[in-house]
Amino acid sequence: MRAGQPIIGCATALGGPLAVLRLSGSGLKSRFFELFSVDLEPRKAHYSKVAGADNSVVLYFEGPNSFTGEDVIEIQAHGVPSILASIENAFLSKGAQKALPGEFSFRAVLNNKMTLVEAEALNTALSDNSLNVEWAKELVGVSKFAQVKSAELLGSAVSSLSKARGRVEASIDYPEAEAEQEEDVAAAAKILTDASNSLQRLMSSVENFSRGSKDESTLLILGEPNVGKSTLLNILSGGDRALVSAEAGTTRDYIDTTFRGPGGEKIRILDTAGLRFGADVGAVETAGVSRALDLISEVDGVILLSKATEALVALPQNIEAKIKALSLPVLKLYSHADRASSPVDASFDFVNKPEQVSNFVFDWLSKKEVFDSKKEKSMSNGFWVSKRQALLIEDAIENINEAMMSLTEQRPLELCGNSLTSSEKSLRAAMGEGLSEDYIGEIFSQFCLGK
Amino acid sequence: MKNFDAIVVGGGHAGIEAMRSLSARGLKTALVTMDAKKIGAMSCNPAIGGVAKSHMVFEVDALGGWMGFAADSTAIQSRRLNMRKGPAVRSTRVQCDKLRYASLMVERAKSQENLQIIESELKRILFAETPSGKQIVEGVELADASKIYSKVVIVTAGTFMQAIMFCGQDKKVGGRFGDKAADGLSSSFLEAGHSLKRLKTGTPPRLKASSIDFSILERQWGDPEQRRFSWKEPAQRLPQISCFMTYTNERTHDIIRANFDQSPLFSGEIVGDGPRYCPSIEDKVKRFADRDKHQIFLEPEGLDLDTIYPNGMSTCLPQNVQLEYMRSIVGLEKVELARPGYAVEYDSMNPTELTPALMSKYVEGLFFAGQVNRTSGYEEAAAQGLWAGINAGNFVLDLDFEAPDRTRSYMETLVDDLVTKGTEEPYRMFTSRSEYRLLLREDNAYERMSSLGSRLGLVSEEHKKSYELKAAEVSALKAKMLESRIKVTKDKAPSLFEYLKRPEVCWEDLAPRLGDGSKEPTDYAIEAIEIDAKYSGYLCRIEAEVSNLRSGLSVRIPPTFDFQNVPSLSNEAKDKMNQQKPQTIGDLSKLSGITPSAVLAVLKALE
Repeated sequence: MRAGQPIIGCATALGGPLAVLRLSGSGLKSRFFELFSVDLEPRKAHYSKVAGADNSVVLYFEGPNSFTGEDVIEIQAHGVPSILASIENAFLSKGAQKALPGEFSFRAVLNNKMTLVEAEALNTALSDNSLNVEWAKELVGVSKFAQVKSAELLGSAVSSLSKARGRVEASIDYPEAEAEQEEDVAAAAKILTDASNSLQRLMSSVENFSRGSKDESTLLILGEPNVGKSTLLNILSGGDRALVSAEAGTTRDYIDTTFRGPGGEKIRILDTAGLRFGADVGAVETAGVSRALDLISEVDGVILLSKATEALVALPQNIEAKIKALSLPVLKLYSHADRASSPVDASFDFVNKPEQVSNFVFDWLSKKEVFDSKKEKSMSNGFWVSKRQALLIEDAIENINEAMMSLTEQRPLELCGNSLTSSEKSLRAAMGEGLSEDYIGEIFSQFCLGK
Repeated sequence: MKNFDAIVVGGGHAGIEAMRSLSARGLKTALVTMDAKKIGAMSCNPAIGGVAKSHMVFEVDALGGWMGFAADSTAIQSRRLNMRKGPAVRSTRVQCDKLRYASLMVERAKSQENLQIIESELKRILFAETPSGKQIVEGVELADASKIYSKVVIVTAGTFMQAIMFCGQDKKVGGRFGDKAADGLSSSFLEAGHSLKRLKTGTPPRLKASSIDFSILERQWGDPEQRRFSWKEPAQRLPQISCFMTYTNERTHDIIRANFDQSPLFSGEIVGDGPRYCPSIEDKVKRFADRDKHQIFLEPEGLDLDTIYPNGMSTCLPQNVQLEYMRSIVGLEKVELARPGYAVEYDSMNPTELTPALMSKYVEGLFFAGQVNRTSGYEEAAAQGLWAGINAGNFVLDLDFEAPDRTRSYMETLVDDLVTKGTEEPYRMFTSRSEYRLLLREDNAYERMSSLGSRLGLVSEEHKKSYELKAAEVSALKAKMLESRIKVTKDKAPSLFEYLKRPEVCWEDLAPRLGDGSKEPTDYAIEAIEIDAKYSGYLCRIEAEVSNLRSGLSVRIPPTFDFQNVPSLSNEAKDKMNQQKPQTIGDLSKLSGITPSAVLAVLKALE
């Protein structure tokens, strides 16, 4: 741990016309002033010769008002590798050291400029290859907000948990105060139920968020058998993904295809086996309906495909209700336009004029109001946690549920205490903290105990 | 010039167990105490045991210690606590006749082989420097300037170092009512490089029983069956008495509040930190102002004593104020004080300056045990005295030190907490301090300690035999229960033992089925069977963890392993590990401040 010692690193990817070199440490100005041709003033943009190698724009942030909490200097230099190298060497020879990956963020966390959780969010956002630049920026912004919410929720779950645990442990370690104990234990049970619920909501919302954050739209094609769903899929994905044959009912189960649309965006389409929406459906079809219901929770939009030649078909009630509940955008499409006498709008001839239908669909997909608002909604309401945290939170939920069960089943209280301790440890680890050494002091100081 | 193998300074609960464990191994031991008649004196609560504390009493007894037997022999009320909260937190608490307790200890000490009692104040500890520049202990200098020498010195000075007693405006030098202070020690330790901290503890007034109206108060009886701490049954039991309960009220609180300015606690006269779990009554009234009453237990101090110990009323307000607020309490309207309550401020050692053997890091051969290490409680003191005595003995005998094993006992959990984490206020044991509490139970204390006790020669043959008999009874009973079956449904007939595993079934339901003329099983055996049947499921997990922990010691850690990748480790732990680069799990577990769960986390991550 070399906090305070000057480090230097390139904050931008190499290859561009400009590069940002960044320094962090204490007393940067006094240490490196000789390498600049002007006197550095905090929060000012300077134009300076740097290390005799380049004329650059230099920004100086005096600690603690900087990204890392230490002094920070940012040099916007020309992206020529030899220039960058010579600037870097000049600083290295004056005692700076090369920054390790993530070291700037690490110092920010050390100096309480960022929480560990925020640093993780930043890290993930920057390393996720599925993100384009726009999304990355938004993700960082929104995820910062989302994970601040996560941090709040985690923080309040931990303090509830600590209270519940305090009551249970106090009841064990101070049995003399008998009368109040039953209330205490009942109160603990209530606190735990609330904590467990809120953590579970966090986790399911995290699912939404991570889906929403992916720069990928997922669609489900619904329709009766043989309306042309697989053909549509093949048209859109430009491949022979789905098994298409004249024989009825060829798509088994469902097909999951991901491809890039015309604008380079990622699209994922789920093509189900045809669902019979009519009255007399057999067991197989019912299974298909319940599968469709499951899939609906995972998608961003639905394409409802019917034949232009047939009467308008209504979706089964439960499917319709769920789509409505999730406010999913629905695109109604009709196939076999060539065979219809008076085709309605959005009718297409899949076989002979495939480009018409694909233009229509991609056009619909690109309508930002339709999709992005949904994403924004799921992200703005969502919580975000890293994988490490997710595992720990799941563990904590399991332990809390075990603790609650032991209370309702009236198992020995010490087991409840142990489950709560494990659970608090996991949650605190999720927040980047260890179990406080003085937890006993903290929890017991709430109670008037002791002889 | 007198030479001993070991010198123990202080005859309190720590000193007793230290000198006992040394002399029992054949080492020539001197016990230096200011007042030989006060060996084993109970300075505060006349009780032994309590939650987590009783566990340590059982552990001390399992290693041949005296506290358990003395408590059993002088018990005047016995209660078991937490009976329905789980077998691991079940605890025993006995109130003792404090005079008889102390005289029993004095008698035993007088007749202990290899022990010489020296009644004297201490001037200072004698140090020397070896040619290599190491500081070692040489012995002690007594008040009359005579010197005695030994290889080890165990200091169990309790609350006596530079001690000052406070009662209202009165200040008196002394470590306990009626006793002097130990003034020669602090400077020795400071010179040696140790740091000291002022701590504070307090005690309630003692009330004259004859001045209390017990007829209007709620009685609290002890349990009809007296639980025993010790393996050995005392020659005879004392008659049992009851305690009484009463409460403070708003008037009491008003009187206390009106006199806050007279409390040396609040005026800043007393700088020492007191225990948060044992606050004085004025503390309680101040911090928990919204409570309209606090419970008080009135505990007789002895069969032949007229004094009552009011549990919950520790104080250092002036004597006349104490009398006034006491008299506001129901039942105590005409109470007389036998002695006022007071606070003691004293010097304490920093236990992180001690090794896990409780030996000074600066002076070889110098050990510390008891309240002087910032703990509170007789049981905590006894456990440390025993541990320090064991290790001091090993040092004299040129054996390795014993490393504290948290998975084995509360005694070792206590030592590990003290030397690793330290404490800034008096430390008291709780079950919640042990992550292995399911394994550390009263009922299995002997099992846990037996191999250590045998190896060190601290357990007598008689003791071993008595345990073996018990263990045999339990396995015979279990065998019988596995054979006999009970028809639950048409095609289900589990063994009685299997059936007992069900939460709704208890021993009483099955007892009639075992009756075949054979002797009634002892309570001990019944409890053991019940715990085995009902708890083994829960224990499996933690036992697996512990055995993994123990066998994992030789697992190698690859040199490129990055501890940052281990989930649920604290940042300090990660840094420490990355810095020290331990090569095996065993090395890792020896790093200071690394907890067993951290080791486990690394083990898991390595898989």
